[in-house]
Amino acid sequence: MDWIATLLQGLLLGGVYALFAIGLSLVFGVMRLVNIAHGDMIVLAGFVSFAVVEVLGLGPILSLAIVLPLFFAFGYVLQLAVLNRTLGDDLLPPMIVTFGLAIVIQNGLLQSFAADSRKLSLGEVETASIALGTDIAVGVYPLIIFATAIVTILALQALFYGTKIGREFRATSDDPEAARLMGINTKRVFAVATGVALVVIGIAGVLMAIRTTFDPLSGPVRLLFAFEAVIIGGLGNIWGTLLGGVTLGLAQAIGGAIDPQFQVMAGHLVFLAILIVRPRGFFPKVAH
Amino acid sequence: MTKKQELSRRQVLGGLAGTAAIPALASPALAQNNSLKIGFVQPETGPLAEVASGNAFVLENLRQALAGGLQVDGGQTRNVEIVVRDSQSNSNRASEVAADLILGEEVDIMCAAIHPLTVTPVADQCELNGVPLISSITPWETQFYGRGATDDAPFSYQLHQFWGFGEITNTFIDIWNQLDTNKVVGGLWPNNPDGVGFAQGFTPILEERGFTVIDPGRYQDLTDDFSAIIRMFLENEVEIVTGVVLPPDWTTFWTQAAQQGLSVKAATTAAALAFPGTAEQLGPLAQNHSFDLFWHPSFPFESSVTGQSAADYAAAFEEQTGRQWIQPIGTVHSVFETAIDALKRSGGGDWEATREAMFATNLNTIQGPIVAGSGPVPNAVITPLTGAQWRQSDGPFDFEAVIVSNIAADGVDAGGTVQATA
Repeated sequence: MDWIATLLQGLLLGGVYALFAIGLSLVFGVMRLVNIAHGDMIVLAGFVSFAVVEVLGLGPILSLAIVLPLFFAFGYVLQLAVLNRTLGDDLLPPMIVTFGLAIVIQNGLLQSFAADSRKLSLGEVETASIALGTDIAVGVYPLIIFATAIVTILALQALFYGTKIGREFRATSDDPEAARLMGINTKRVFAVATGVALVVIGIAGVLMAIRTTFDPLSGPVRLLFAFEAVIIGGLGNIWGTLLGGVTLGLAQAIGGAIDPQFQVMAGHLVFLAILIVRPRGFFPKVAH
Repeated sequence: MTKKQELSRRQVLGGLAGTAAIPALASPALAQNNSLKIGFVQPETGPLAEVASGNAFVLENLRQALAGGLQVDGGQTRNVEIVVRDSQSNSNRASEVAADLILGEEVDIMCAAIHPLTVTPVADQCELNGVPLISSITPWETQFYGRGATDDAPFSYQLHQFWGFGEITNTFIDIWNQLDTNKVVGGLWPNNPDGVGFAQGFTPILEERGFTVIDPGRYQDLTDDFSAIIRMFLENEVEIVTGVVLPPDWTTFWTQAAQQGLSVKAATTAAALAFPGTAEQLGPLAQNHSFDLFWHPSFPFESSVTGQSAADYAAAFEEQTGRQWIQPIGTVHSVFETAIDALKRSGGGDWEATREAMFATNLNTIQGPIVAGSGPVPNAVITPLTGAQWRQSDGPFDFEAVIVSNIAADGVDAGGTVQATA
C-alpha cells in the first residue's frame, strides 16, 4: 500500500518536472539551442501573472489569457532580434546569450518586484484531494498539473504533425540548409518555435506560481530538473521529456521513501546512471 | 582601492532615477573630517535580501535623526556618517567589505546584522583588527561557541544583542503547551547549517520536556515533494510540526500535507513565515501559523535616538514604505542605538575607548534594555523573543502578528492565546 502511494506521488511529481521541461525540450529540438534562461523565464511568467492578477483582479487561470499571448510575442521577438543572430555551427554563443538573459531577468525582477517571495492562489483546489482506498489520497492540483503536461504534449504533437508550420518545424530541425533551399524562411520558423516554447513556459510558470512560492532568484533550480528530464528522455523528443520527468519524479519519490536525505540525490543518481548507460537518453530525436 | 556602492539600491534608484550608481555622488553631504563613522554590513541582495528589505527605512530614519550631529560626552558636536556595505548574502563578500570598512573607511565602530553568513565574517574581521562591533539577528550561540569562543576565553570586540536556542525552544514549547496535543513533534530540519543546528539543539531539549520527536532526516532545500516525510508524520500521528524551513518549501509541504490528509494542531517554524508578505502570499493556509517574533509594535520600548515608541516607529515605516512593518526594523534600529550610545560616551576616534564604552552599555532601546554583562556570556545580551501567530485581519493588511507567548520577553504583553491550526 505504502509503495503504491510512493509511486503515485512520484508519478505526479514527474508531471511537474515534465511540464517544466517541455519548453526547454522544444527549443532544443527545433533550434539546437540550450536555453540557460529557461528557469528564469518560468519565474518571469509567474511574476507577469502575479502582476496581471494584482492589477486586473483576474484569477491566475484567467491571467493565462494575457500571459500566453505576451509570452508568444516575447519569444518571437527574442528569437528574431537576438537569438537568430547567434545561431550557427557553434552551440556556445546562443548558450552564453541566454546565460546573460538569465542574469538580466533575475535582476530585472529584483528591481521591479523586490526580493519578497510571491504566490498565486487558487483557493480550495490547492489543498483538495481525492481519496483512493483507505490510506491513499492524491491532490487535485498535482493531477491538474499532470493532465496539463499531457494535454500540452498532445497539442504540440498535433501542431508538429498536423499543420504546415509543424512540417516546417520538422524540416528545419532535420536540415536547416535543405529547408532553406525549399523556400522555408528558417528565421521566421525559429521565431515561431520560440514563441510556442514561451507559451509552454508561460503555462508552466503560472502553474508553478500556484504550486509554491517563488522569488526572483528561484529560476536556476527549475532549470536543473528540467535539464535532467530533457536529457533522460532524449534531446528534443517531447514524449521522451514526459518519460524523463516521470523517471526523475519516481526516482526522487523512491529515494525519499528510503530516506528524505536521499530524495534529491536519488534523482541525480538516476540521471547519471542513464547518462552512462544511454548517453543520448531513452528516445533521442537528434541522430547526428 | 575599489569603490563600492554606498547607498542602498532603492535610494540610488530614487535619487538618480535609475542611472548607474556613481560612487562620487554616493557619500552623504555630512562627510567631513570630524565625522564619526559607523560601518554597517548587511545582506542587501541575495537570498537573505528579504530580511534586510526594511533597512533602507531604518537608515534613512537614523540619518534624519542624526542630521544635526551628535553631542558626545564633553560637549563637542560631531557629525555621524553611516557607511553601508552589501554582503550579498555571501560570507566571502562580507569579509571583504568589512575589511574595506575597517582599513579603507576607518570606521569608528562596526555594525552587522542578519544571519551568520554576514555576521560571522564581519565579527572575525573586527576581532582581528581590534574594531568594536555591535551585531544582531542570529542566535547568539552562532557568534560565540560557533566562532570558537569559550566561557574562559570570550571575544574582545563584539557585543551581540539577540536571543539564543534556549529562548526559542522555551517559546516554542510554551506555544505547544497551550494546546491539548499528544506531544508528538515532527521536525522539518533541512540539510543546511540552520537545519543541522536546530535538529541537534532542539531534539534533546524536547525529549527532556516530554515530547516525542519524529525526525525524518535532513532533506534538501527546495525539495519539490514532501510525500515521504508526510507519510512518516501520518504514521507516527504527529500533531505538531516545527522546523527551520525556506518559504517555498513550507508552501510545498503544507499544501501537500493538506492534500494527503495530514492535519496538525500546531505549525511552528523559524524562518518560513517570519514576514507578513509571505503569510499574505500563502493566504488562508497561513492562518494560526506560529513563529519566532523578536520585535513587535506593541513592545513597550522607545528609541534612545529618535524618541519614537515601537508603535510610532512601525507606523512611520508603514507610512513611508507603504508596506506592513517587519520585525527586523526595530532590531536593526537598536543595533545602531547601542553603537551611537557607545560613540557618544567614548567620543569616538579611538577603538579601544569605544570598545570599553561598548562593554559598559546600559541603554534602553526600541528593542528593550541592552545591559552589557547581563547575558549568558560576556559577548551576548539577550533581547526579548516572543512567539506569535499570524491571524487574518480586517485591517489595512491581510495578516497581523498576534503575540501568544511572552515567556522569553520580559515586559512584553501577549495579545492573545494560542489557537490550533486548521
